[in-house]
Order: sequence, then structure tokens, then C-alpha cells
Amino acid sequence: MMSRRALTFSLLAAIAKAQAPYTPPHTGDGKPDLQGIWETRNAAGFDVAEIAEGREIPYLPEALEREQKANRVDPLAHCAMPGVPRVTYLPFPIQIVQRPGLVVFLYEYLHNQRLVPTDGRPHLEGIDLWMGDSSGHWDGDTLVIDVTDLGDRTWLDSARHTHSVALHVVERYTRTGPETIRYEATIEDPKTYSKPWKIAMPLHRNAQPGFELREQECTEGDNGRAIQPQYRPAPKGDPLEFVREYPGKSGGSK
Amino acid sequence: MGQVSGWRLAGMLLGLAALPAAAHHSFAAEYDQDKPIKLTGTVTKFDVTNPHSWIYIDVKNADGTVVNWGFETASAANLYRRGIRKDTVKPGTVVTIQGYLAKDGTNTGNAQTMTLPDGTQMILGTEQNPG
Amino acid sequence: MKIGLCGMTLLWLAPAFGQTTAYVPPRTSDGLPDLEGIWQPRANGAMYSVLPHPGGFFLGAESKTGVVEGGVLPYQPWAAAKVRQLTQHMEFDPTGHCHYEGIPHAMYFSFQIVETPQFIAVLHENMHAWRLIYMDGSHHATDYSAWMGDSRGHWEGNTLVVDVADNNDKSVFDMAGHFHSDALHVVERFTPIDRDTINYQATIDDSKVFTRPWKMGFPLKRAPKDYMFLESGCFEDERDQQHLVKDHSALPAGHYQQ
Repeated sequence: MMSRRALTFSLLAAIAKAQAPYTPPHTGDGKPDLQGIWETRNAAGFDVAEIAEGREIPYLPEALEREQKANRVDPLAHCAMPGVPRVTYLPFPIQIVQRPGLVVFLYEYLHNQRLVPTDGRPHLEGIDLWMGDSSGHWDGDTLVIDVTDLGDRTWLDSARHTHSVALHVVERYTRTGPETIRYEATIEDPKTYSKPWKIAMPLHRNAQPGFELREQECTEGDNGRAIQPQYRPAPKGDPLEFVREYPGKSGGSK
Repeated sequence: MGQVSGWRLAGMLLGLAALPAAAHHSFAAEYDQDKPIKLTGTVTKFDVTNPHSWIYIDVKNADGTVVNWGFETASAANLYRRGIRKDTVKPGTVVTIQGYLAKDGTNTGNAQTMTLPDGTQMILGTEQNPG
Repeated sequence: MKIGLCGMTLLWLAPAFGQTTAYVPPRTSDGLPDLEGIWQPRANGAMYSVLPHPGGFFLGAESKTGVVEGGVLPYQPWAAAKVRQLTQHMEFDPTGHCHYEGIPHAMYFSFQIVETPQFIAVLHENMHAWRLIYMDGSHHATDYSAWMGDSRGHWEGNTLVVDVADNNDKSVFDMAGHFHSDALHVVERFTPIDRDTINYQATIDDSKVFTRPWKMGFPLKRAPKDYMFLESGCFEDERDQQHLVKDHSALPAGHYQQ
């Protein structure tokens, strides 16, 4: 049993370590290296409020009304692209590839992809893209991606949190350790929300030797209409086993 | 007017290129190239989307009834490269669409060109075929 | 196959050892032959048929040669009959259902190459498809079947050689009924011949449907600098299948050989 002094010291050291900015390895062109395979370990895919600051989405009353009358079928049910930010926190691995001037996101989920130039170029205008138009740039050790042109047909989660064509998302990816990226996004939409709001979550590295993204493709439903296939079966040693070791952390409050 | 000048030039330039777009299904099976049609009507909707955009027009028949026709065009991506934006053609605009009839008897066609009220022509077709 | 420093020196000298092209591409920042960029295949209407075919409003330009070496697909007799049946039922064509085109079909359309030492990423516009060609000497995945197969590659001089296995039997070579089985095995060769041109060749081997392997080939041209690589979805607003109904789903007679 530690003395009170030793306990305090350990606690302060842990806090200091947690707060000290991590210096990530850099790529050949001097940028923080975000490459690798990353996974989400939270329930934001079901309800984005799980990772929202204050666990609340600041809806405008008229937007809530609009949402009550919206289509009840999740666009993902018939294999639509998930949009941003939803694609980030689906329960499927993401692979990040970096080249000078370009960051490529490969999503196992229905083989989605995002090509993000990092020269801060202006957005396309007058087109609706399910995955939006992404313009990236580096802010110190953080990759900042500004996303517009998201249309109005994606959901933010499977709880039918919708948005208008005015949706604008600013993502921030920052390495916080050898096995983690901190993902943050500021979400604004003056036709849906009374103010911009933020989500934040870690992305965890999948470091299993030989782990590769696999193809995940739509399947045919009974009437020939494309439907979402079953979730990827979890491989041995899957990070979900971590959750099973700590039953006290699942469910319940806060 | 300034809005359309960009796409008009892009459309003309695109006429020179014949690079394929999507392999998504065969128009040759769905549409009849021996059944050209040309209809004038009022735009009710222009869904600029993928894999193909669709423009819908209300056409007045000789007996006064109005029928809505749907015409398939190039993808949103290809239209964008030609300078066509999601709001370039607004509902209520009277247009003339030239294309080919669907084989299944519905009021559906594959659009090749569209003429706007001021006489300018938009190339909506998926492929730029020389002949 | 790992290429050490000694091997890299040999690769630099390779053109002197009788390779058919003298062109030596620049290197990427990792020292690899640089094939990066957006490429636009000149596939001669292969999307309609890989064989010679007439032109038409919905068939693109006439192709006198097609892309198949010899202009003939060596189908076994039962398979040739199935090809004819499939052309009468284009409602079953998987591209109409927004499925992946598979290899080599996906290579008839614009794509972007991004290279790292561990893998080469090929990013397709159509169906927002992508594949990773693993360059680390790893073996094909086992117990795996995919529309886009499983790709493992290596360099032979400045040529990228890719072995594509684990193909399912659902993807097709074009929109003229040319199908394959799950025994499909493809070996691709990407040979840069100048700054803006790569010669693409694919050797197709499928002993369940063909009597022998066969080859296809066409050039890939670098896209213009201002070419916009755009999102190209399909599942979201597919509205054509509803029109490919009984008696209205056949390709016109005489449009394609075989």
C-alpha cells in the first residue's frame, strides 16, 4: 500500500504524462505520420451524442421537427456512402496512407475512400457529394480537414440524426501516442443547429501482425435491391476483447 | 447567362474527348437507339446525382393532358466536369430534350442534348459518340 | 520479393540487359519507380466488349481490334453458349447492380496510383473502389473470395507485376456477357514507356471456362493536370434496373461477336 505522498506523486506524474504533447514520428516530407490501420471503440455509430461535448446536440426546434418527418430508413441499409463524420466511427477498420500533398483514407466499410489534398485548396461549388469535398492542411502536428458539399442525405449515426445542405465539418487528427490518434470534429449547420458543436474520440491502432483490410461489398436482398451485408466477424485478438475484460465500463451512466 | 457560359465551353471541348465513364450497366439493353425522341416540357426536377443524373419534365400532350417524363443523363461527376452545377437548370424552365426511348414502354429516355429557352445547348449524354 | 540494395542496382541497369523499352521512370521519394498519378486508360471500348465490336450510340466508338490479343476469347463450348444467354439478360449484369467491376474490368476507367514500399494503392473513381497491391512478399489471403480479388505484387525492373487471386465468380470482363469462374487468376504488368504512358497488360487464366490463358492490353495515359477525380457513387441513386425488365433486357442482335 503506497504512502499518501507516493500516491500523490504517482498521480501527478500520470497527469503530467497524459498532458505532455506526444511527438509523433514524421514522414519523409516532414509531416506527422498518421499512417496505419485505425479503429473506433465506442458507440458513436449508434448515437453520435456518445462522443459529443456535453453529450448533447444543439438542435434548432424547426430542425427537430423536420427530422421527425424524415425518411426512417437508414441510408446505410441500402449501401449508401456514410458521409462525414459518420464514416470515421463505424465499426470497421480505416487505413490511412500519406504521400506528399495527399492523405488517403481507405475505409473497409463498403470500400469507401477519401482523397484529401493537403494544400488548403478552395472547395468545389454546386455539387452534392455523399462523402463531401475535403480540403486539408497541416496545423503544427494536426491534420485539419475542412469538409463541405455534404448534401443533405447522410445521417450522423443510426439514430437518424440528420442535417441540411449547409453542413460544414472541420476534422482534426492528432497523434497522441504510439497507438492512438485523437479525432475531433466541429460540426456546424445553421439550418439544423443553434451553434457549432464538437465531437472527440480516440482512434486506436490495429497492430495485429498481418492484419489487412478486407473487401466488404453490398449483397443482394430478396428483391434484388442492394442491402448492407453482415458486420465483419471480429478476428482473434480483436480489440473488443479489451471491453469484455472490463465489464464495469460498459453500459450504465456517463 | 454568366452562369451557363462555363459549361457551354466545357461541353464543346468535351465533344472532342471520348473517354468512357462508368461501366455501370448497358444502355444498349435498356434504350433503343433506333427510337430517337425529342420532347419539350417544363422541368419539374433535376436530380444531379450518381451513377446517373435524371431530369424530369412535364410534357403537355395534344389533348391537354400532362405527362411527366424522366431522362437519364451523365453522372453528377461528369456533368460537373462539363460545368453543370446542381442548380444550373431550375424547375420551371422550359427545355427541349433530345434522346432515345427506353425499351420498356415507360415515359423514360436517355438524354443526349438539352436546349434551353435562349437556344443554347447542353450536352447531357453519357458518351460522346462520334457516329 | 524483397529487393535489397544490390538488387536495386541491377534494376537500374536493367534497360541495358535487353528490356524492350529504354525509358527509365523517375523515382518516388521512397526510391520506387514512380507510377503515381491519375491514369486514363485508352481501353478501346472494352467496357462494352473486350472483343472487336461495332460502334453505336450506346456502344461507344467502333473497335476494330478490341483489347484481346488475337481478337478471340477461347471459351469452352458450354461457356460460349452461356455468354450468348447472358447477353439476352442484361438485368443480371452485376455492374447494373452497382457491384465492383473486378480485375481487369476496373482498369478500363480512370484511377489513381499511390505508392508506398509496403503496398501500392489503386483508387478507382467507379463505385469508389480501391485495392491494395501488397508489395511486401506476403501471400494471398486464404479462405477469401472477393469481387476485386487479392493483389500481391513485385517489381521486375521498372515493371510492376501484380498477381490477382481469390476472385469470385460474379464479376465480369465487360457488358457483353463475358464471364469467368472463381478459378480466375490474373497477372497484370504495368510498364511505363514514357512520362505519360504506361502499357497495361493482363494475362487471364481460368481453366474452368477457357481452353487456354489469354492476354489483353491497352495503354494508360496520364490524366491532364486539371482533371478532377470525383466521387462516383452507384448504390445511392441507381434507377436503371427497374427498366431492365422481362423482354426488354437483351443486347441488340449483332452488336457483339461471340
